[in-house]
Amino acid sequence: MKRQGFPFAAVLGMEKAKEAMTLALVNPRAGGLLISGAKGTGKSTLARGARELTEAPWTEVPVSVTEDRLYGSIDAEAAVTLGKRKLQPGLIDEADGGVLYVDDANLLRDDILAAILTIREAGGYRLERDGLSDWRDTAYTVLAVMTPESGTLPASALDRFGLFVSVDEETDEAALAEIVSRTLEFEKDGAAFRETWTKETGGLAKRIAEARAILPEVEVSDAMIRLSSVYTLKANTAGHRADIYLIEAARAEAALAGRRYVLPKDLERAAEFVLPHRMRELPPAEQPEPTQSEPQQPQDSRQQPPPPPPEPENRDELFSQPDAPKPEETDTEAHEGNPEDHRDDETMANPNTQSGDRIDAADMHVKLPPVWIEPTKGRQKKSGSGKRSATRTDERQGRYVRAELPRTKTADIAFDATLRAAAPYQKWREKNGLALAIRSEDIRSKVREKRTGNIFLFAVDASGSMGARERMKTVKGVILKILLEAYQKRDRVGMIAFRKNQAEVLLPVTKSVDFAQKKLATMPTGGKTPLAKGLEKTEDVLDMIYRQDPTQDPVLIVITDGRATTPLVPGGDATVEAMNEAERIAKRKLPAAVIDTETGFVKLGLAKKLAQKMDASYFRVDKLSEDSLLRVWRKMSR
Amino acid sequence: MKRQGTFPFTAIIGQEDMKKALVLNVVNPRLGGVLIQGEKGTAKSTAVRALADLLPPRQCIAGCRFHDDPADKSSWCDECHEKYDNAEPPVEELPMKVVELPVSATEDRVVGTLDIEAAIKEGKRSFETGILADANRNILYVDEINLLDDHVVDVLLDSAAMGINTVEREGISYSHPARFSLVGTMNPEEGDIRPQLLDRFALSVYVAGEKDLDRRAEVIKRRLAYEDDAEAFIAQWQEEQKNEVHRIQRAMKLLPQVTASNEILRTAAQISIALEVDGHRADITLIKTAETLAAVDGHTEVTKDDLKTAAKLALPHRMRRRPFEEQKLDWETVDKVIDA
Repeated sequence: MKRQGFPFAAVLGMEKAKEAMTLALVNPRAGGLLISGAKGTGKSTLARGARELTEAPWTEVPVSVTEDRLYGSIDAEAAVTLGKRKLQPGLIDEADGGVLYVDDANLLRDDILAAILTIREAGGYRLERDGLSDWRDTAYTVLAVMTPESGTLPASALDRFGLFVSVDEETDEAALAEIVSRTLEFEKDGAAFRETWTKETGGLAKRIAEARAILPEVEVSDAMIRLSSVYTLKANTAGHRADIYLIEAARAEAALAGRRYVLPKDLERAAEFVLPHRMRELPPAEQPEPTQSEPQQPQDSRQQPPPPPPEPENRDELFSQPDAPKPEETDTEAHEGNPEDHRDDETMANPNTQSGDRIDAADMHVKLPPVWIEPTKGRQKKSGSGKRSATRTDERQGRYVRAELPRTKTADIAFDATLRAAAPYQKWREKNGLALAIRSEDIRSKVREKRTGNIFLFAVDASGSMGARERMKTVKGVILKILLEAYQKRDRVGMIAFRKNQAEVLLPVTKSVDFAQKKLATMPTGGKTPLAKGLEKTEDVLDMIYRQDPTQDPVLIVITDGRATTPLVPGGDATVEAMNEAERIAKRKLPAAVIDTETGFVKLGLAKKLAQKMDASYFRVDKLSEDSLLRVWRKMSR
Repeated sequence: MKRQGTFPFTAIIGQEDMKKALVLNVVNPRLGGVLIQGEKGTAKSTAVRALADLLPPRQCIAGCRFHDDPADKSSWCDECHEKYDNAEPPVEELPMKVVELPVSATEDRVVGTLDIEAAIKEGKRSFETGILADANRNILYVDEINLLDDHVVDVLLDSAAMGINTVEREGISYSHPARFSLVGTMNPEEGDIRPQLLDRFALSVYVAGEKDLDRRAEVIKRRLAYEDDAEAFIAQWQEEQKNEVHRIQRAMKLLPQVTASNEILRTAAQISIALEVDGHRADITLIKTAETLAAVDGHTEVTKDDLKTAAKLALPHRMRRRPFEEQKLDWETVDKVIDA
């Protein structure tokens, strides 16, 4: 269905996004484009509008895409009518020579997004599915859009996009009015509106086509290659891919300017799209461990816009790093010692951060009993009637790994296996003119495998009060112990930290527990406690987890003293808001625990109340080491 | 869009450990594979795929689906036994291959299954080979091996341990030889690899991006030149490639003559004890690696230097390691033991 969309040229503003889009379309080797921005900024409209700028095929990948559709699968019709084994090409094949568009990149299953990006890099893929074996060449440009509020992309996916641009909401009143007026006009009479913009859109398309035509002639001198390496080394990008993207994007810039050679200014402009999402903190000099630092998440770059295009004369300042605390300031001292040491810890502000943030090492001496698992009785019953079990039965998510005799009536038929089951009997069966006769006893269903076990989602209070005394060390120790458990069980973990006025996804859900540990080690504390915001962000992440795969079993662990100090809305009651959020979480009926970090003589008991509202089990952090059993529920209804 | 020829192995700049580990596995197919870890965009997959151009031809039984070795009767498949136990098998020369196992592969394609067409046409249940059959006596390559489904990992581990792939499915009952060098690449940021699988690799190397400006610019220059005109670029490297093939072939010829003295054997055992690595597999791999290194270097007696280099390739992933502790090899200990 050809959609008659809003014309590209009529989208107001977003000049950077338009420029990046143009580059991506002029030179597919620039590695595609990811646009990040809040809901309603018009980024999807813009991206979809780009369809008219190119003659190439345009293929859209829906979030619900299955692997069969993505890679291709056996052609059922050809098999039954002709008895032939034929490939029905997947989206990845169909996109060859064109654009593959993903509208909600952050909602796509990790492995599917990774496959799309990997195959683009490799220029093809090996298909070994459904009895088919083939190498398929395919080349496409990936255009993707994401909304950071609903979760970020893992760093590994992020920097496989050549170009990245984040769009801000329009705040200029006149511009806003114009946007509304254009939208209304389009809705009233789309055809007429499009008509008025034909010329503009056509002009752009022509510019792109012309640039594409001269692109093969655009040369890159050795000096420019060197300069690009200077940029990428400064930005400490992973691997060498950034260099290639930078040069290819610069070639597109040159081609658009009608030039047949690349100038430094092309590289500078290109750098603005190629580097922001893959810059990493420089690791300490003697430690060449690349995973120590991590690329900036788009969320961050939204808050701190990417560096402006560099001026050639002060290039050195271009990639000055954000004032992140440096790993060497991590407190690695053993926690035992005399009490004076602790007081020092409390009062010593980190000299390198303006806000007095601090980073505590994990207390590896925290003792946790090795057993965690047992579900309490009441909980189990509740979950049995919850939404969890209902969504599980006919779920088609997960990787198709093999086939089996269906236990119940199934819609998830493994056609290849069904064919194989029917095949030996064909000589003797009545076929009614078809090449194959399939009977109900031949039917096989797919066995799908979920990629890993549970998800542990941590929501950690990183406010100033947590930095006091030994709390953060203990908390980090506790989390580490849980991570250790996750490591052995191949679970996945995610982490949300809240402090000052914000809650951020410190670690998108990942399988790399090592990586989680590294993020944890460098987590700073300081500032007030936006507890409600932290829980709200937790809700967002849970939403995303369920949207990716409703059969997931996240386990939520909230670590806080419950003393909310920053309200969601100015003037609001921070505590009441936090309790409200907790009640919302309770409605999800997921296994949850609150670990109370409150210590000292005066106890407010707010974390306990929070646990009750959340319908979560409650633990005191100082009792954890003595507690005979810490119950966190895994595998609720397997 | 058509795929271009592969990037020449010899044109890859730096990454010496990775290149060495790969070449060692070609020279000695019994070595046991290599795991390459590192950040993306560091030519990991490029290097493995490029290896295909350097692979030497070897003798195979003509017409055998598993390219059995005519000289090694113990590893023949049932069909070859049936046909040639009492007759001279026909021989053909076939190059070794890099057989790729994509993470999206379904089980039927990995282990093999019923041949549908034969079943329909002749009503016969015959076995259609899968990737493991192709991989016999070849290199089996898994990109992003840490993302492989547990289920497929189990199958791989089974075959790797036994050297045999046993299939019991869809009325098919079949087993065939499946000895392969397992080569895996992965970016550790994307997930951990299962310890049992990690254990299977003889060697492991870590690659990182080039930090030296001149060398980095040269890396990019070559990549651009290749993308610009792959054919011309490949032609430019033909001579180097040929030399490398010769080097490999010479080493393969020399390998059977390489010996390790008792002293070397004892030193290897001492290293394992000093570093507290698990099991005998470490010692054996260490010696095999050192022997192969000697062959590549052109001498027939394993030296202490060979052992040192071998330790760097064969031991890092074998250190008994608690989660979250950086794996650190105590090189001083290694050197002390070797030089003692």
